[in-house]
Amino acid sequence: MAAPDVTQEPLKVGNLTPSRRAVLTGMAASSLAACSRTDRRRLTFWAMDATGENVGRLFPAFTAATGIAVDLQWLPATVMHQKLLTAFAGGTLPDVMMLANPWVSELAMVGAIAPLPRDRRPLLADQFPGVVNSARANGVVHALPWTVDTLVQYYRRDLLAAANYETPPLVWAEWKAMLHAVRQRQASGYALLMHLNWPDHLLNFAVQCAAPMLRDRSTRGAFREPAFLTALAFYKSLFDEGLAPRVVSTEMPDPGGELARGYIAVHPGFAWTRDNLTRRSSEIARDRWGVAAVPGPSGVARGAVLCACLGVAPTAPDPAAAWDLVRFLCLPAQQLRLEYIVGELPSRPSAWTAPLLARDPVMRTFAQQFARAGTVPAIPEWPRIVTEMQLIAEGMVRGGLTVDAAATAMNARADTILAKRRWLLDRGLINQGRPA
Amino acid sequence: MTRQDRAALVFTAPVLLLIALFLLLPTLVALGLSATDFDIYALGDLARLRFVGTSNYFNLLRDPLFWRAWGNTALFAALGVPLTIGASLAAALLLHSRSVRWKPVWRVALFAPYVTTLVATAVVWRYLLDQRFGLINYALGSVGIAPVDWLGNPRTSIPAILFFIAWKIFGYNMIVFTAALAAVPTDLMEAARIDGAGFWTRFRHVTLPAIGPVVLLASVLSVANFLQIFDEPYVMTQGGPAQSTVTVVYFMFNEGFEYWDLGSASVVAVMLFAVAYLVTRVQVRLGRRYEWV
Repeated sequence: MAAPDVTQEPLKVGNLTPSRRAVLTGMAASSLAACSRTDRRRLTFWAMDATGENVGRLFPAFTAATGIAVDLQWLPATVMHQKLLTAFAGGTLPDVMMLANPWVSELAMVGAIAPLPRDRRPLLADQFPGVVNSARANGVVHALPWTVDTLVQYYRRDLLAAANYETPPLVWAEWKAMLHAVRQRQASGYALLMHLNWPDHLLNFAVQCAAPMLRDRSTRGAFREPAFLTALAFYKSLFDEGLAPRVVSTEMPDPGGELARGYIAVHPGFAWTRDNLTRRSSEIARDRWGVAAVPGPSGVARGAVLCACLGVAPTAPDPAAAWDLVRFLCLPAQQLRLEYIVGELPSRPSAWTAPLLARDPVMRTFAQQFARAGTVPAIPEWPRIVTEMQLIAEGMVRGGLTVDAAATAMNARADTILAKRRWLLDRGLINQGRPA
Repeated sequence: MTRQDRAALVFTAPVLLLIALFLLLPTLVALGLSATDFDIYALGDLARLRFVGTSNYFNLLRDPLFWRAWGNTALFAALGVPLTIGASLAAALLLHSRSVRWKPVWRVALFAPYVTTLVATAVVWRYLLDQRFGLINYALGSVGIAPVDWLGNPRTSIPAILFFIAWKIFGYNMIVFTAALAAVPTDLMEAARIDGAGFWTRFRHVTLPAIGPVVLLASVLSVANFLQIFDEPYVMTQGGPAQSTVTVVYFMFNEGFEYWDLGSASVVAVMLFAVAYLVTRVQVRLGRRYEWV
């Protein structure tokens, strides 16, 4: 991999021969600049969770190459969204911000993140197409993918082998047959773990079935479409047939531990489960667990991909410096460093050709799944609709509703949430949104 | 207007102005917002704001989480008021006892949690309540009780937070009760003792009638405080697990700042205002009956 070229233009440095006067004016200027937000070579950056805690280790190289200092503010992911909105309302947005891809359309709509400038188009090279599409609002990229994650299935090799399966089948029907076979051989516990308060599993099934979920220019719920009903019925059957326990993540917060003690044999989970299992090598040897793609209705399919992006505020006083930072952090080499430090997976396909990742079979599974990133609706209301969808799905699984009734309830909730959007579209007050 | 009236006006004007600006005006704006659909779209462009009358109210009444939030808040109040008042009264009675030495020291020690920072103490309590490493489960384990996932189980999350709240705020009412106990007539107390009344009988027939009005007032004020409970669930559980600690104010906060639905959040505020107003009316009525106002 080529050494990172950090600056696009050479750095302009005045006063190369420092006289006493120049030093004094320089000191005065820098102390003034330190007090003002319009300091040209200083960026504020908000990042969340483990990435935010550790990303500071990448900055010295950036500052050394560009002379741009970075003030990092770390925030927990649970408050990031509301902090960004209140900061926008209060006019105190940072220059550069880390955000989750479902927020892009909302932040772009209110004007809290700027579209990718024309001269930064080269940044769109070397991206997973489905991932970069999730950072579009009205067809325009507003943030650059930084780290990605997706569901893969973690399985216990020995428990599957006992049921005469070397690897899990990748077609739903056969996969479920395997889960039954595993379950029958277990004295206690279950075959599968899917937390009822996580929307990711159901959402992934729906994306695999290519369910649109919203219709009429994303103004109505489409949860009664056959594709979604198929996904919902499959999801429900896994609980109804006793394959998965009806638990939320607070009741069983540690899927890695449950896999290690054999309470479950399969868990569709994110990248951090890999780190968790690796750390537990004394409890569960590396050769006793494996990773495979999540099964699809008729073989491996497109899945939902989570992505943390980097956006730049339209109010950033020095947008060139801000985009330089985004560009730097998204360089494959820096993404690989971040992967090494916190285990967040790179969003650049070329990073996945690095030997450390390319040779690892677990990582290969992830890379293949990112190349198959599917689409979910990209409208500001979507995160809230997903929350409601999962609440209804949880009620359904706990025995309150039939698949049909649950889908109807989801449509009703979505239609209520989307009432404002219908009104705005009718009057032409907002753009239509990304063409499907 | 007499000269005196004018002077009074000049002296009170600054405060009245501040109250109008920071209390009256926001209240009126919230009332106005509750009749609009101020949301994320309106934040981007005010042309996308519309007047919706009472439809925010009807939408909220159909939201199951809204009712869940009221239920949780009622549970907090129903369990929390007796718990905190009971703890305050018990501590005050102990401190009042003649056999207790170093009274000022005890008073300060028990009052201290009330003046500590909420977030800092909440973090400490999260450690105490931890399922695997917490001191509380360690203590329970030594008497053979299996570890409880206090903040992770929807059934124990409210009691766990209530223990923390009780520990944090009981000191305040304890001081109030201590003052009230000092006013209990000692001659009555001694007469009762000479007549052979035990501790419980003296408490029931001498102490309680004397401090009754204060206890009642403290209870009513506690109900009003528990209606507005927000910080503790926000810091300790973020409304979880399974929405078991979503309170009315927490719900309002989420509607307003997570989903940026300020119209709907204002409706919650107006409803909370109405309920708090009713509680205050009850308080005033009780006050009149017992002649403390």
